[in-house]
Amino acid sequence: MIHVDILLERAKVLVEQDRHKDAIQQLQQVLQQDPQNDFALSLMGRCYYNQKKFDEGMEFIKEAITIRANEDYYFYLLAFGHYYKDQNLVAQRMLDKAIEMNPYAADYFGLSALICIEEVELKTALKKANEGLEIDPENITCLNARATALNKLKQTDAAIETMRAALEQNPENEFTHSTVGWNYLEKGKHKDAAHHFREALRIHPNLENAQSGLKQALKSRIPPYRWLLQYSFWISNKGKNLQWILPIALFVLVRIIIVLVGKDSQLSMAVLVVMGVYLLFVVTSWVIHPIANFTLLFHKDGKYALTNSERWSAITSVSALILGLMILAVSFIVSSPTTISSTMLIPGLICFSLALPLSNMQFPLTFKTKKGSTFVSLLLVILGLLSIIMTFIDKDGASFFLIMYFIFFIGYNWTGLFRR
Amino acid sequence: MQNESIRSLQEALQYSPENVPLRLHLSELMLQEKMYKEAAEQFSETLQRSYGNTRAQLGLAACYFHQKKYSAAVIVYEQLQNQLPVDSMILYIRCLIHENSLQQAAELYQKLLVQIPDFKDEEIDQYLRLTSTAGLYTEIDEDDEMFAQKYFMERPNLKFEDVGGMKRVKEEISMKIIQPLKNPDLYKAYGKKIGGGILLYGPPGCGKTFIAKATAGEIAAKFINIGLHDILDMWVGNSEKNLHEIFELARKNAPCVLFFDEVDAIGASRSDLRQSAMRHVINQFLAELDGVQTNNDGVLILAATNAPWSVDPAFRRPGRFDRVIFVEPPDAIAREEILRSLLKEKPAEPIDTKKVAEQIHDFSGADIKALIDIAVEEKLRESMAIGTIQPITTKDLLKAGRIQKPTTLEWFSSARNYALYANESGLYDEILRYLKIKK
Repeated sequence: MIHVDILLERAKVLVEQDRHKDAIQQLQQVLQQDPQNDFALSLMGRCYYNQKKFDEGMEFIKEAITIRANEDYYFYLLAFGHYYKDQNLVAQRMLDKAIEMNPYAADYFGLSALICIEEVELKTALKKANEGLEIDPENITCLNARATALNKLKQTDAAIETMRAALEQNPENEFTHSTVGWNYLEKGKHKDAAHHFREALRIHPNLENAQSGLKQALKSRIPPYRWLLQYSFWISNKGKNLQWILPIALFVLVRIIIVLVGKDSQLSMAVLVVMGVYLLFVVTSWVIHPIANFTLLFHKDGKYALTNSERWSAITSVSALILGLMILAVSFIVSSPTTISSTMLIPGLICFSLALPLSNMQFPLTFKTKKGSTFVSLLLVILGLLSIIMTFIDKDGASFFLIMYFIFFIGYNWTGLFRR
Repeated sequence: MQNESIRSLQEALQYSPENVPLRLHLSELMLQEKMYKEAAEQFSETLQRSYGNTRAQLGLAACYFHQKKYSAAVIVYEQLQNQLPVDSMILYIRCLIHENSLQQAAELYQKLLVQIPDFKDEEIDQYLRLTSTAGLYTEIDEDDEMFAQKYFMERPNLKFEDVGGMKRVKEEISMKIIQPLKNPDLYKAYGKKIGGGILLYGPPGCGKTFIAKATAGEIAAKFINIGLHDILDMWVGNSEKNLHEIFELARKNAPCVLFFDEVDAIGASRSDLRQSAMRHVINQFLAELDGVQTNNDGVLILAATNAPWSVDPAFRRPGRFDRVIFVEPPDAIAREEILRSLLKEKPAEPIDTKKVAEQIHDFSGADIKALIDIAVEEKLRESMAIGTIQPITTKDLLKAGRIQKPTTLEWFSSARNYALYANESGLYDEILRYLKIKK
């Protein structure tokens, strides 16, 4: 039998080399000999974390804690798991415990700051990051958290200074480059952002955070997308609830304006403009994602950055848009100036509107999906197609489908605010 | 008899308590008689009278050891560090093992082996994982057998023709290391340098080890396979000596193919590359590769990895692993060959291997083996139910092919990103070519 220490030593090397499956094998042998080895349990947890199996990983860490309840690092690891599972409150509580036990670990403050940033408590985040940096002025996590918090607090100069410090500290750190990329993106400098995302990917090509960042940066080459991205950054920095309050408020506001001003024919032109702008905003927010993804297909890096599902949803929804527009155009040309033929108009509009559910769909198509939103999207597409077919076959029957489609579409649209 | 002399010595000491040699003699007798407690008292007594007496100190430490007071013994031994006789050294090593200071124990053990190459001790070996022959290089001749067993030295019968597909890989290996061995003069005439190794990379289960073995068979050389655990244990103490002895073994047995599986484990740690301990093993490995102190003639060095991006870039300099070859999953023709060879000894109807091979795109050799296992299990169940042997049919294989999923896809999804984003030197062009990505 191989001695536990040797096995642990091997496991440590393997974990450092990112060979988590091999490390798990060694650790299993350790635990067979010594099931109460808390260090082995914690390493096991880290291995599972690295394979994105956070639930299993957290079980191991919890077990380690029951054996050795005074080890602050285990609480930090547990917090890490909760953070990745978006259980920020629990994560923060665990971190507080870890910091209470050992107030001299900068990483604990760094993670705590990152959680605060997610919860949009920017001032607290900044404070925590600074506390961490007092312990270790070179801590990469704290530097990154500080830079992000400052950036979101609009203290641009200080943010840039911190980013520079972090990069000087370790120019080959993929996380720093990725953070810098996101900060630039939030500032609207998509070219600088793309540069740093590429750098992060050069160092660690499988870093998902940088992959999605690069995608956003490349899509930002289209101005409307850039504006909408800025809008979504702005809204997410204002707090979580605003994300659904604002669109509703906007909708209500527009309705009120229409009702108030509607009777006054003098102002009807202004109402039309407001309506137009509002509709443009709504429609853009629907279709800009697939359009931006579609343009990526023609970019030399972009086409590989997209996943298969994104690629197909971009292609299908853009085709729906184009087809819809073409049908509408034809219907305008064919019909006389006074009456617009509804036989073409309605299918055109439906076809156009199908772009919305199509852009939310998972490809390849499957009916066994467990995700509710994908299922609803699929239902909506089928309903839309049916009503188009019906308008050509049986006009009276079609109205039923049309109404159904309309109701579903409106419902789908509004619930979309909460789906994200 | 002994007890009597102990008693008389004790009496004598009562009359002349200051007689150090006498007391020393008594304590050593007591130690021999396993009267550890009494012996320890006498040794301490001696030390009080003659401070720093080495013999008394050694005796005292030995008593502590037998009384299981390991830490006390370690303290005594530490003072005498460089003047320990062999038997005390052994005790010291054991103490350290009990105290869990394995690294220190390993270092000491190496020193001991320098003095007595033949030394064997089961207890110590068990902990420090130095098999009986590990240690001195001069020893290798006599214990070649055991040493070879430790590192799985063999003389493979495989030839290139036994390996399905891989035409390009075979050609490269042939040009790089087989032909130079067969026609050294021709290479010399063109001024082409001989030497350097080959690094094979690709998804798991696609025959990297197999082709390495076949290379050895092709030139009737011996084959030494160094696996992940052998490499790992270099980290756990004892690194340089292990590494050196592996290369020495290969040199002594030339012509010989030295194959490092999962070579990225040597030194691969992106987060801690600057850690000195890790650098150490890498440097030692590079020095052996370069053959600085010794000649690597007749030693062909091959290495394989699933993670070429983790391999230290220094490994790829000229004269080292200067040829990097992508071992891709078998193509349709190779898949057919593999299927046929795996089905050779099994009860089967004539199989439409072409059809099956087309369906199992992206399957590695190991995946195809797993597929056949699935089909065989199904047939076993059926045969048991019916009572006669049921031959495997094309349909069975197609069905199994839908159950078994190709394991190479996971590797490619990760490798693709390396090829896209970290391919400055064109190292991964072959991955891009395989994935039909144009950059």
